[in-house]
Amino acid sequence: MNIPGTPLGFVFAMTVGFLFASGLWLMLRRNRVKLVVGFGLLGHAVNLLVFSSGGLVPTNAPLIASGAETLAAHTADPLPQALVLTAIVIGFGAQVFLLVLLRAATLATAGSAGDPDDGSPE
Amino acid sequence: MMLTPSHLLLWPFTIALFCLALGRRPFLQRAVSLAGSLVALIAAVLVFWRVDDGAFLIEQMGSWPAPFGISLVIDRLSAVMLVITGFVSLVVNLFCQSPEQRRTQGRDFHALFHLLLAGVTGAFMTGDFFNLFVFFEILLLSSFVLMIQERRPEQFDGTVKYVLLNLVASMAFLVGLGLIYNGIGTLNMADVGRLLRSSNWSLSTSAGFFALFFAFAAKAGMFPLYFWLPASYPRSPIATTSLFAALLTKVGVYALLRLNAVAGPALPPLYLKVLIGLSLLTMLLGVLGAASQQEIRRILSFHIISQIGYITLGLGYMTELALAATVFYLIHHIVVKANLFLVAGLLDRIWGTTQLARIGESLKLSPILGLAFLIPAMSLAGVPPLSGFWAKMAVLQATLEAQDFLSLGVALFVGLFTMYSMIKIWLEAFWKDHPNPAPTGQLLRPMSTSEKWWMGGAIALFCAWTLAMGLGVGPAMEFARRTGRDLMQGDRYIENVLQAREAR
Repeated sequence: MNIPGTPLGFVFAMTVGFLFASGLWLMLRRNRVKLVVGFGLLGHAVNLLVFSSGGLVPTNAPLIASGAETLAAHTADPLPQALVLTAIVIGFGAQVFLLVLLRAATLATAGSAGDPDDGSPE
Repeated sequence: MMLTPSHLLLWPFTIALFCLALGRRPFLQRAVSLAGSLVALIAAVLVFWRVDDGAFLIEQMGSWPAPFGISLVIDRLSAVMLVITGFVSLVVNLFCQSPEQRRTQGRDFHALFHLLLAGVTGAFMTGDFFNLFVFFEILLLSSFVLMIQERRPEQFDGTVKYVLLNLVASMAFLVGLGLIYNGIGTLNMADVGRLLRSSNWSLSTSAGFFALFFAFAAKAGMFPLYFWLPASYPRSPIATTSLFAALLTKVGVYALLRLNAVAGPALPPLYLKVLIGLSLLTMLLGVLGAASQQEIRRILSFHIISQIGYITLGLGYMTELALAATVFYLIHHIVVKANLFLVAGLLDRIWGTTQLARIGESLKLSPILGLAFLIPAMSLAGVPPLSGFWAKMAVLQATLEAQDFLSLGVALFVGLFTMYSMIKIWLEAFWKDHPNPAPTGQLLRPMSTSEKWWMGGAIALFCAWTLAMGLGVGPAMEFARRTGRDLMQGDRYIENVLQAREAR
């Protein structure tokens, strides 16, 4: 799934890996802002991965030429693009909700000492 | 007019919109919501009757033939899940009608309730993995908001854990979808099944399969990703917890069941062994966690985890008997768990707390309440003739059939400990003297007659289901057997979906 002689696939894979690593790293910090940023990076990593699942080759738009009955050879696979569009929208919604939730949680628990009956002796 | 899958799917969305629009007219909103649940149940039962003779109800969205468009498929498993979803939604909805529950519900509670059900309904009938992802997100987002409806500070902590774990699991789900698409070039469940069976698994396919398993297992609350469940469930409003306990983890289990069924004989043996091992650990750690808790809702939350272990154990054997046991256990467990949480809600209403140390004497207050707890509790622990006994027996039969004596021992041990937890609740909440002797036999706040009827009626309906499933085990088990056979014959599912050109 790579263009012979170009490092595109390699660069792409490294980018996705780097985004995954930094996203997870940020999410494991004990800081709510970094958590959201990390979640965003993770979302980008996943979206790029899904996008690449149709293959990274230079192709034509998947449109049937006038007069032709079928698609010409070397057209892009439109499905991963549709999938990634849906995933971006859903991920964006989830991220906005996460931001609002964390803000509300910070406001609500400001000054309290955490979980009152979390199984620990009172 | 014939019912098609899309009717069942559009119905809860429509009801949710109406509930949203009627936000300022609470009485009308509740009436619409209740009627919506009732009609959804009736429609599910009608569909169930049509599907139970072995037919498939298949609809291709936009009339695109199977691997290209999105298919909605209702087979026996989907149909029974839809019926149980309708039943739970109706009964929990009845519980929500009681004046005390109404007081704490936000204005958009019923809209979110039906949106959640729409997500669950869609997840149970979709025939496309990406579509499954979309329905997961619908039900997750509604569940996030339902969980913090009351906006009490102590609810946020657990909700943040719940939201994060589920969002990360959704990411893993997407990763799995991308890798599987890269590997075999389709996401239609039937087509994925066909290609997994007929071709060698590439690295991409295997990694994608594992990512999907990870996502579903996390959502089902399997070991080692179950910590979010006892952190979040006990704090939510009780009707919400009851609904979540019944349906949300089970959607994860259903997805696992579907994944296993479409891949069928192509499943790697190592994966099945890992599945059995994780199930045993889930069972054990859940039940041991429950034993250390002193608060009813926390005990019950840990028991969800341990019972998930029983349900997924059958998936690891992939025989007709084991899958039948899984299906039977699923149907039994959804109702029993929802019922126990409703009883906990009633105790909370009576005593103002569910800490075992601070309550007692409930039996003296109301012997009927004691019976209402005993039926689901003994069913959960597996006492004959209640449904839990037959469910456990089917699982044990499956372990015997596979000659897996380790799993047999663990399952029996966990059953014993479940009994211990239930007896603990019984002794503390119902039997012992109330620690504060002054208000003997007196309610903290008096309950009105209508409140007793709404809450009691809901619990009674759940108890009736448990009893019916226990006493009428013959037909119920026969049905589970038929479903298990269906799931073993994944070829039939694949052929039917791929050949169906249009819904009839």
